[in-house]
Amino acid sequence: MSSIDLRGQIRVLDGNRAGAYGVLLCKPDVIASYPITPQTPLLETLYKFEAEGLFDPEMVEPEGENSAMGTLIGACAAGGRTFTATSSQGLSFMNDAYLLAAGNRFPIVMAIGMREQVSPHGVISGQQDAVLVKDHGWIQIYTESCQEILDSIIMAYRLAEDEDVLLPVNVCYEGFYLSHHSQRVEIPRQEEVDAFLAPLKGMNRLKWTLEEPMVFSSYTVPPELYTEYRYKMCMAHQRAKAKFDEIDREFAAKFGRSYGGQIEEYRTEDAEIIIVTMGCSTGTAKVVVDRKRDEGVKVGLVKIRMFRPSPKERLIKVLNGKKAIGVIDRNVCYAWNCGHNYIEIKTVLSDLDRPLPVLLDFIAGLGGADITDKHVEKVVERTIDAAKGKTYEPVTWLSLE
Amino acid sequence: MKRKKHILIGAGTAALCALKQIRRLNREDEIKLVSMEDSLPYSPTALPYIISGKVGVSDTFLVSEGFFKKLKVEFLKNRKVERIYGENKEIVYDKGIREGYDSLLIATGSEPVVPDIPGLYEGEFLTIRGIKDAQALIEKVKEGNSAIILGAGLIGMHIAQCLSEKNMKVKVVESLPSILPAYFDKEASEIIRGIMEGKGIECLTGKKATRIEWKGGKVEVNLSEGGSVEGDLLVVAVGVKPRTEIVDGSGIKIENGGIAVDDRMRTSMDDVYAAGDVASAKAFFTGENGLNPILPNAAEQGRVAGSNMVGVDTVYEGWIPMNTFSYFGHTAISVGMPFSSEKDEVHVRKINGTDTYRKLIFREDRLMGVTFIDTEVNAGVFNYLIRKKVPVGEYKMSLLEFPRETSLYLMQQAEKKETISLEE
Amino acid sequence: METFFDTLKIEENICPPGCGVCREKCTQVQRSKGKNGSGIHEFHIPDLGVHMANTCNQCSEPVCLDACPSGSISKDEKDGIVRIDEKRCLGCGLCNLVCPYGGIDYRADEKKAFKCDLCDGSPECVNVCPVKGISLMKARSIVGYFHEDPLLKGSSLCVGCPAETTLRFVLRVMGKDTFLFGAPGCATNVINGQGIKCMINIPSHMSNMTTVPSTMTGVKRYYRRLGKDVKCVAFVGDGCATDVGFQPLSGAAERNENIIFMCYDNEGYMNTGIQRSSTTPYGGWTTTTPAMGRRKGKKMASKNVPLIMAAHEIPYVATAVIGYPEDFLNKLLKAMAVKDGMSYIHILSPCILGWGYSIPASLEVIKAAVETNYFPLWEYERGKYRITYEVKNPKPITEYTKLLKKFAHLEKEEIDELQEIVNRRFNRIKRLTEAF
Ligand SMILES: Cc1cc2nc3c(=O)[nH]c(=O)nc-3n(C[C@H](O)[C@H](O)[C@H](O)COP(=O)(O)OP(=O)(O)OC[C@H]3O[C@@H](n4cnc5c(N)ncnc54)[C@H](O)[C@@H]3O)c2cc1C
Ligand code: SF4
Ligand code: SF4
Repeated sequence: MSSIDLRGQIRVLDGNRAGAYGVLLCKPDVIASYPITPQTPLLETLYKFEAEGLFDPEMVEPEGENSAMGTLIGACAAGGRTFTATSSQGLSFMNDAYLLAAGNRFPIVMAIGMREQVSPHGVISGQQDAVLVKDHGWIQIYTESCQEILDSIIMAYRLAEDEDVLLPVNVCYEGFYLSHHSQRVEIPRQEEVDAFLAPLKGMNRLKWTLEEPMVFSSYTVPPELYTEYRYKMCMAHQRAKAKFDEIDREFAAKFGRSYGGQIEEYRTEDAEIIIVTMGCSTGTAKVVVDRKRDEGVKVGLVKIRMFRPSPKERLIKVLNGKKAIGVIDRNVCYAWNCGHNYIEIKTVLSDLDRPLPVLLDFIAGLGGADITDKHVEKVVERTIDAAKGKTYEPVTWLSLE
Repeated sequence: MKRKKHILIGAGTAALCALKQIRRLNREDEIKLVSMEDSLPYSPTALPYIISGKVGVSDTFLVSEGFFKKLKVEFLKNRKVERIYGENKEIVYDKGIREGYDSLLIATGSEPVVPDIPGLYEGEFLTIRGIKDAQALIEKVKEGNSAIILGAGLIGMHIAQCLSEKNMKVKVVESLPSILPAYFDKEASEIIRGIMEGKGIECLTGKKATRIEWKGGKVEVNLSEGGSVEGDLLVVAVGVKPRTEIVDGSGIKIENGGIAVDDRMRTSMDDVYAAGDVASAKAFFTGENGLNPILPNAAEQGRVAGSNMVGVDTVYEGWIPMNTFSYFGHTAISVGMPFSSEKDEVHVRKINGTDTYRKLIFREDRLMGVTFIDTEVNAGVFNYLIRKKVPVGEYKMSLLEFPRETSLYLMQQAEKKETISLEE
Repeated sequence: METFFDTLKIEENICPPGCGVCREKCTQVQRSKGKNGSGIHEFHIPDLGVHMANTCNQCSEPVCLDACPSGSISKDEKDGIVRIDEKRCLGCGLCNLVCPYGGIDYRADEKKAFKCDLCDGSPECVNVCPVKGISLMKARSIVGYFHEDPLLKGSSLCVGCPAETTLRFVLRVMGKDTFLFGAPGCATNVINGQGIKCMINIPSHMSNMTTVPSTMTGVKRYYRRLGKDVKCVAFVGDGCATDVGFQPLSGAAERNENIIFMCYDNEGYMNTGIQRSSTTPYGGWTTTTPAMGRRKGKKMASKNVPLIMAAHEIPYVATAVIGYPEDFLNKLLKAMAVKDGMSYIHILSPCILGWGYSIPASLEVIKAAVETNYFPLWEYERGKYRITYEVKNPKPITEYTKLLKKFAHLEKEEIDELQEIVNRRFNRIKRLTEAF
């Protein structure tokens, strides 16, 4: 057995390698790769696996990300399971095919090793790349830890290929913080994953074959039909939400790890104020929440896992009756001078019972900057103050202070 | 789709071409070919060659037995169709047997005209239409004997030649002033006559037969303007007329002595078509219906009828007069209008010391008709130039000087344009 | 019941004055068979500069046969040759009278008709013509390779557009185990239909312009993994192949994917209304290279994409046009035979609207492009370059440009420049054929 076959073991792995084991365990048919920092080692690892005979997908090395996605579109249309990963400009260069994949409902799984988006150039961590494509039709899962990357990739295939969903899924993890930092990772055994993915085998899915010739992606679709496509895709997104919760429960039952499905609710039950996070800063924030709890502050945390589609119903439920919400955003929306999750939560607010909680946004960690416990403490304190009725800045550029 | 039943009456060129066309376009339909004769299909055009002994009867059959089998066609010999009941879509054979059809083609050809000359029926004269006629004539051929032929048309002159080649003395009586009057102008006709007479064929033109007398195995034909000719046998070849008796009482429209058809070869009766000698069809030059009992027209009309009978809409462009006549190693060809009218431009070329004669008739820059004697040409190419209305304006003289070369050149150019045109 | 057979093709007006070698040869061949005559005839009209030859077409529905009163003419079911049975021939001349193409020679003195019998399949005249003006068109060999037509009749392309014919031809050769790929452009109307209506009976896909080679890669690779050999064939325009989608094309070529990629080059973005692409020729008018005021069409020469593709050293690269179907067929067959890498075929496909010519002239334009060496027909096969259709006397480029409005504004200077480009490029290919 190859020395790199760590299936069934517990190891210290960085996020890229952990992700690679997730891919290995799902046995894709076709993998296309194009290097871009920080996800490159994930793909490199897959080549090692293939070279060592751990699995035998078709490995394609296209000349660019758009072709990588194009390749997966072809393979997926024909019925294959596929994988690629990218980051930053790679994702924006892929946009042409990225949209095509979603519009054609191809259940492709792609990891995004997240990075700031040009310009300025920066080989630095961030979320801007993935967040920018929020309305391109993909499901997006954001992760907190190396273990979660691995597990989320397995869950992503279950979600993507489910006949009620059939949508492409991104598994997003922040560059460097997760891609290159090592953590303890349990690598499942192959049989366990096989069993977990087994329900996909009998699922319905249109396949592009010679036997039943089919034209796909035709030219001028009449408006009624066009609208119907759009509507159906929207409905698939809506169905994906509960489905993801279900998959998470099933995953927990099989593997003993749960992430809460669409969102993770951390000490929220009796909380008066809620901190909203997405990605790896959650770990730091949880430490601060615990610390504040020890001080008697009724603070809880909501981690957005499923950014797309929006976990609206779950958010309404968890945020109802809270006094204040502080959102930490590692990304920006130029139009509204805030982060993207702030906009998301603001949208949800209108569905909450009155009186509405106050909502504050903290932009932090841009350009690869750390989000430290000090930052999070500031977030908690200002949110508490706002909850008490003090005047507050709705949006704070925390790292600029 | 339901299999249809097509009945084709007559086993000449017109019916056979219709049959082949039906099969080309439709593999399934039932086809039945009916002939009142008991041989395989043949063409009357071959008869003079049978008479001259050039070929035997069986060498002129147009198709073999195997042909019908291969094309899944039922060939009914020796059956005459006597009546057509268009309303019931039925035909009646001799002996009263009836049969239904979905579409019907009348291609019964033509029959010789027998003029009303006193005394004619008192003896055994001959006409030439079927194999039996040819065989009857062959029996009577005897070297050194003499033959009289009434009519100096193509059939008459051809028979004259055959008999002359058999060393009979031949006299041809023609009421019009020249021989082959339908196809050749006076000048051309004189050239041909010269050759014929050189071979001993006497051409008595401008003379009507006024009375026939049969005495002791001989026949004497009295002529207008006095005088008479005597011979051992008499062949009547004064023309043909459509064989239309079959439509008597059917209500199918007759005009010019033939069955009227439109430009799809449809008669006035639904699902009944006519083609060949029997049809009065559209003329190319005038657009008016008329008769033109020649083989190429029978073929073309048959093809058009066949297409329309299986529902492939096909228009008949109209017939163009044409003929080729070979006599004692010479050839006379006429394609298109044989005679010019006022508005035409005519060019004639003769080559001294030879029998060569060329006449080209143009109307503006179109070719309307050609006559060639002893000129090597591909005659059909002129037919092409006429039919396709190929503009020949600047090539008129070249056509006269180098008719074969120029016509081929113009045809090739036009063919290229058929598919490719650079005109805006 | 369509049947197609071989037939002789004679080049137009290239016979040397006075030449009659074909006829002499034919006469000699016929004499050895105990016959007197020739099935082919030269004709010269010096005054008109006409020096040509003519022979029978071996028509599929011969009118001569229908007109023969003695059943002497037959069309052979196997080889398609129209023959006269000499023993039965009456010498009536009717066949000569009805054949529109001058295919029958009739001699009154002999009382016989005579015609070409294609030497029963291997005509000798082809070999003796001093200017190689006679060739045997292997129609049957093309049709023999045809599979069922996967396209319905008709299409929504412009009337007379050669792209549809070309695609149909390609698909009939390719057969049913083909995945067809298109990209937004004119041909997608045929490839994918419009809306939910399509006219094709093989799997087809319209990609984005940038994702054709990659999508093909994905399909091909997935089926390869399943152990199935499927043909992945692209039929895209020059905008896709040579501009925006060029990078992925080059990538797929470098990876040597086992796909067949075809570019139908109409030298511009025609579906969007005639804008220049990188294959728009020097001087060519488009809406973005106008010919008005200070502008005189495109300033730079076209991108020589087939040559660039050959530089990728993939197994097979070729140029082709529908006007030379035998040549095209051979190239398709070679492309299909490649199992270890990529094939690229670059097809010149005139655009009636964008180039400015009248509807039925597409073939004329194609022919002129080839005959002037504007679009030489060549192939690159595993390292070897070969000109597949040698133009005997290349015509000046004006013979091509004069046909097209897109060149109407060119003056002598520009024409000379275009000629120079054509010569240079042809010589380059020529030298490559000599060097490799
Ligand atoms: C001696 C002679 C020489 C000729 N030479 C030439 C020539 O050189 N060039 C030229 O172009 N044309 C020539 N023709 C004319 C040419 O033969 C006819 O134009 C041609 O044959 C017409 O073809 P068709 O099919 O219309 O009729 P036909 O060939 O006459 O066929 C008619 C068929 O119908 C059958 N028939 C008739 N009535 C019935 C019925 N009631 N029931 C069943 N069957 C029936 C007949 O038996 C016959 O088989 C010549 C004709 C003759 C007689
Ligand atoms: S002789 Fe004329 S009609 Fe007959 S096959 Fe040849 S070209 Fe056709
Ligand atoms: S010349 Fe001979 S081959 Fe030609 S039509 Fe007459 S009989 Fe037939």
